Amino acid sequence: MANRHTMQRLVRAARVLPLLLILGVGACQAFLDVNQNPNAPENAAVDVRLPALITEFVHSTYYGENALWGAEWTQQFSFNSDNRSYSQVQRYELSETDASTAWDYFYARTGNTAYGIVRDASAPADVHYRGLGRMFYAWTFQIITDLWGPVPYREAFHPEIREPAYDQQQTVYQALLAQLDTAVTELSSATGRPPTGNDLLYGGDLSKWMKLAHLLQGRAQLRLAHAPGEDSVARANNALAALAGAFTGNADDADFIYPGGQDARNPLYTFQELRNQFVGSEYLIEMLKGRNDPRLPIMFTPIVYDSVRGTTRYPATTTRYVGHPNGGATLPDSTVSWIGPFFSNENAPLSVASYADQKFTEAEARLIMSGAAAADVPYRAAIRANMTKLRVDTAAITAYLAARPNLSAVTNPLEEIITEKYIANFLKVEPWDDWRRTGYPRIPNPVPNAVLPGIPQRIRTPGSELSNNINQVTATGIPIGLEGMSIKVWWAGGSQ
Amino acid sequence: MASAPDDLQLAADFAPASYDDWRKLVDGVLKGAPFETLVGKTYDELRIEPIYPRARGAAPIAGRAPAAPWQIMQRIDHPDAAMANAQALHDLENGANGLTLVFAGANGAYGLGLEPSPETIEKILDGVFLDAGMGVELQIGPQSRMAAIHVAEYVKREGLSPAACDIRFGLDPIGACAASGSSPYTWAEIAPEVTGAIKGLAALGAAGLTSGVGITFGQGGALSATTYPGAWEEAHRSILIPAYRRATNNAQVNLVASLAVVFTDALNWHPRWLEYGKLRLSIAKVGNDAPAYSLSTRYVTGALGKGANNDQQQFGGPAIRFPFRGIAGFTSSFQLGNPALKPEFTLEDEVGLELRLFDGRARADVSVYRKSSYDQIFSVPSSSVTGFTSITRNAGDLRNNGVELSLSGRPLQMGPFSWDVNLNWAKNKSKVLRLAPGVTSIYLAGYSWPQVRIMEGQPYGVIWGYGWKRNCVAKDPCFSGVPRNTLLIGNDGFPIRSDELRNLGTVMPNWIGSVSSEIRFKNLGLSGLVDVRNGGRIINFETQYETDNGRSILTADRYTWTVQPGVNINTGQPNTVRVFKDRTYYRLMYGFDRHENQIEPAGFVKLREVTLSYRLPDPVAAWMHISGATVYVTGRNLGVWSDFSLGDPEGDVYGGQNAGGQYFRQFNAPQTRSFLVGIRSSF
Repeated sequence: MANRHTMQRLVRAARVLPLLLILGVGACQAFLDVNQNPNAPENAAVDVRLPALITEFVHSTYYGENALWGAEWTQQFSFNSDNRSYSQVQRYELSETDASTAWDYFYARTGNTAYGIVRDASAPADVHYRGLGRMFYAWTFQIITDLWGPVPYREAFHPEIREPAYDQQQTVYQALLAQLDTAVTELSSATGRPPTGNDLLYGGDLSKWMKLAHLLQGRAQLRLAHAPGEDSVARANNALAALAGAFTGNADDADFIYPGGQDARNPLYTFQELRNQFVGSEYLIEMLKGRNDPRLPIMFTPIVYDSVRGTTRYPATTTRYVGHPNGGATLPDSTVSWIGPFFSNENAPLSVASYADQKFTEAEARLIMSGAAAADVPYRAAIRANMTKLRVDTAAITAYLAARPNLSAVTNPLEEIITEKYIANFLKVEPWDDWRRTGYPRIPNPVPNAVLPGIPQRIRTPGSELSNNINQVTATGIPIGLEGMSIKVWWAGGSQ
Repeated sequence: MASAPDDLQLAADFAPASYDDWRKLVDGVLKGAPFETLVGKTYDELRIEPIYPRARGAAPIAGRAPAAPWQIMQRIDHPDAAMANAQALHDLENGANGLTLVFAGANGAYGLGLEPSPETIEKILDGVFLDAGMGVELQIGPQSRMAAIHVAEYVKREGLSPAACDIRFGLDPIGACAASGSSPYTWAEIAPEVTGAIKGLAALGAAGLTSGVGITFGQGGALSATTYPGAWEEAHRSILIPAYRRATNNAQVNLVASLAVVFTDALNWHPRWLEYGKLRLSIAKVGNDAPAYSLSTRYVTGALGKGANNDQQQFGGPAIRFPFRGIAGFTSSFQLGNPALKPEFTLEDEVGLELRLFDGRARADVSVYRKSSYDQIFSVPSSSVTGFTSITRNAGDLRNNGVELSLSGRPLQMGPFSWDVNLNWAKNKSKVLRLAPGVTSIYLAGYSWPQVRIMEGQPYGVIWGYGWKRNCVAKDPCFSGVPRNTLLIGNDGFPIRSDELRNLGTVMPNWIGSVSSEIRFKNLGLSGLVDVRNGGRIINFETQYETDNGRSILTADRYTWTVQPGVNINTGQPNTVRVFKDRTYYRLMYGFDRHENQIEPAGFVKLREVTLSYRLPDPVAAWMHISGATVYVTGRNLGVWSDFSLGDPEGDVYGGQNAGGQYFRQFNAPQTRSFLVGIRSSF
């Protein structure tokens, strides 16, 4: 029990205490703003969002799973087993979760970032950022609609519309071609500050970006050439007009640089890391062998030992390239060729848009406009460009081209163009787009034990849309399950 | 205003007033101040005069046909379709002759609103005679615009003559644009849609179609009388809580009011058997905050995976992280912030009774409570097309009511021997009253399917997954003469997975209880605790793997023949097809998407603890210079009795974060049995 004096002191102190509390509380205000997270700001300048956009697009949208689904289905590489842990992609099976992870990423990451940059770069000085954002917005939507057909476009990126309606592919293509036009205008503006080191693809060189935009326009125009209701000659004409302002040589190629090392690796590094699972496809390797293509040793590795003896101690007597038949049974490790290090090294540059691909597009457009003889020139230029890029020596290039007959002497010049384009666009999504559009090259269709009657024509409805937007999904009339993957998209001859 | 004042005889006694007369009076009041001070301005600088004369040459715009009766329109906006229908019928029976159906997202919805699905509309209009001279007005927003079409289809389906109906479809794109400030469509796109809609309705037979452009304002709604307990919650939700929020500007004040009456003293009532009795009442209101940084959308440092698809990493290959190549990169977060987020509210009423009986030899404690939580904050998934995969929202209202009972006593006391018993029992019933419009369910645990989730009208924690097709359930075939719920078997002898996901049970128990008992004899003590949980179910996600690998006890009778009980789905006759129990059989019965067989009862009786103790005698303690010591041996989790196939249903894969997580089992570490020996001393 405290004595009287202590009690009195306490009582006196107690009278002062409330005053101190009031003063103290007032001082706290300046330090505490609980709604500000120093690690996750509410605003980020468009300058700092651009590198994220470019990387998200290259690493996970243009590449990412969808490119490799396409490359596997068109038999550029193969999974060395007839049975995988999750979806049996080699047999054309995808789950709705696989489709979700791609869809969610394209809309909520890449698409939303591009949309945000276009929205926020409203100051006149930001016109180049706006153009770049718009270009990637259009390109992302091209990929989305190429994969799924009818997709939400006009009602996208409005969070207050909780069930966005789906638009036809034709609508989306019209809109994205218009967006590319605007992007070109914005990029060519004389005022405004260009990006600098934060431009991870071209380092701030706006002229190259404009060329890339023209390439995208040309490619999109040609893709529509044989769509129902489209005039192929008019589209080919538009394509050639756009391509006139596109790349002028390999130096303009959009190659994304990866330094390698932890957290900075080329996404195709998986082909090295898991090389006994992902191997060369028998179809492509036999095709290259049949054409004596000098790119074979660069695209694939020779098998390193004599498979008869089955060990690595015995050096191979001749270099042999053996591929795995897609959908076939497992082949023993190291009896089958892997993807070459030119593509699969962790610091290999990733080709996003190439002069060779542009030239093939031009060849096809000229074929439509003027016939095989006119198409032959860009066709050869394209092969030469691609081989030069892969560092094939000049003599081999000349020999190979000499062995290729002129297109006007070939029974099916389109097949020849698309087949060479297929080889040049190794491990990209373009071969699958071209196959759906033209039917070339003549890939064995379907693989043994496939779950669909043929190579897929589109990706199935994502599970996240089934959970969150089911009314609009059913309104499109497209089957929501695995069978939806056999429905053709519009530019391939489908109805939507 | 149809009749002119000339008809009123009384007014004829006064001279008609003119504008100048009025102006003279006004100037007198203004006393020299400029007249302009009486002129108001809108935000767009439009003048608002203090007085307007009757417009010259303007025809009155009839609100209704002359001499036609007024239409008494009642607002129907209850998010629950059955309640909305009840509202509608009640109003119509009591004098209304029109309904204003307010759908979610409309300008005047104020967070309420009907769901724009065909089933809801059918339910709401059930029993309402649309062609009996009553009017219907639809108020719709951008996300409920399909409602207009569903109503038109309903009219067609019901065979009603559209010409006899009086329906205002409420297609108001300009009003929506004015309210939200922007429109996703241009006028060039909207105009043909609107005319197309009108043409479509005309084609259906609607007569007298008119269209007008209008902006709708919100209308106040009367609180409809419903029986308790609905009215109590309705009052809280629609009146008290919004008023409180407006008054306090979303500040949180937690209030408790309690009252306790020791009635034995108050009434001076002390019978021999009741020594002490207390009655407790309490009402509490507690608020709860949102997770940090939920109010706004953030930019986060980019970290990307999703390179090549490969088997080891199902969701993508080499990841990259920013800063990349020395450059920083930020990207927007997947979660949309919500600046309109409000704190959660919980209101709890409790009544309790505490009794001490038989000279303190027994105690009883009973409480009955009712707890309602409003505007619970959840992260609700959204279509990624919006640019975000989830939104933080005030998404749910939840009610819990229940009883808690505790009895303890000393039944036996004979000299040094005593026996204490303690009994606890609790029963809680939960119900999700309402989820925010547009939210159909909220995920708690599991995968896309099976999933433990929250759904409106269900108890907290419902299991959602694929079931078997059963007789007369949902859209499955229905054979008369066969009991409902009988399994439907295919021609191959196997039951068939349902086409749609279903409610497969709830995870919450019916009741839980425990009994503990202690026997003392001089310095020895023996005590034990038994825990009981009754009811509830658990998803055993290990079953599919274990049966596929042949390690589950369920596969002990493999390679035998069996016949599945049930009726054939095509004929309705009892199934007689034999099936062989090989690997395919187990995959079809217990596999990945065969959830019914993966859901098991989660009730148990557990011997939680048995302790034998010995208190050291005082002389020994004194010799050790301590005031007292007890030596004990305890065993924990000594026995479990349950219908769960793996023995002990407790233990969860989510680490106990959430009530829903405890009922999802997938290779988490089982509970352990333990033994302890110890000495407890005091100094």
